[in-house]
Amino acid sequence: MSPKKPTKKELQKRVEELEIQLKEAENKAEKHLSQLKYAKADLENTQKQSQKRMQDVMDRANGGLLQQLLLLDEMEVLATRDAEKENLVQGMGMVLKKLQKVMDSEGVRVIEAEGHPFDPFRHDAIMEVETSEEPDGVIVEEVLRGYMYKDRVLRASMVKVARSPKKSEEENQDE
Amino acid sequence: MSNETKREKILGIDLGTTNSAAAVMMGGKPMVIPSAEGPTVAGKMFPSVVAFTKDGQLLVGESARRQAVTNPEAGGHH
Repeated sequence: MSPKKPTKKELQKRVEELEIQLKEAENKAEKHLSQLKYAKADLENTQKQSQKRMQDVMDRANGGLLQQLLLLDEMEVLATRDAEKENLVQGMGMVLKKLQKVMDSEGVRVIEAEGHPFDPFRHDAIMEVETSEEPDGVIVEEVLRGYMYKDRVLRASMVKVARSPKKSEEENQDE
Repeated sequence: MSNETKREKILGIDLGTTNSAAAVMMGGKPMVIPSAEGPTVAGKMFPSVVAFTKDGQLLVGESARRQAVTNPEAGGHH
């Protein structure tokens, strides 16, 4: 039994229904598109604002630190004053103390080197020194002092590392 | 969420002879991923060096470069 053929009136009604549905869908899509455009603009604005805020925070932090490092005047006086060597050394010592105080208060710490085992996360090995006085891999000399800033390496210390003569002999035999 | 579409991230890696760097596309712009060691002389890049310590620990970048003198047989340069 074939399905009953829809009448012209029924078809017309169906078309009207579909047209209404289409209109509704179009309105919905338009609304969503406009919401999306607003959201995108909001996001771009927020990104710009947060970048500006981050720069502000960095500038303030740098400013605070630079203020503490304004020892230039004192250095200038020392550099231009025609004073006795002894007085100059004393003056430099005072400036140095102030600088060390700033570094301490900001969380800058000296990296321990001489007599400690070499650690590639904090030390930079510039050469090996053959010696039997220190165990293999222990730092025998610090060439340049290193610093930590909180848990980060500000500058790794440049060091010379002990190498036992026995180890060198073994390597020569291998060759 | 079932209707969440999976978005793939594009990662670009520059394996240089001296330094390497990696960047991802974020908001249509490439952003260099800073190395864990923080900014170095080379900026956000890190040395193209990989090494193993004597006790088998894997070192990459700055730390691998720093120990190259003491452990030359256990390192590799790109």
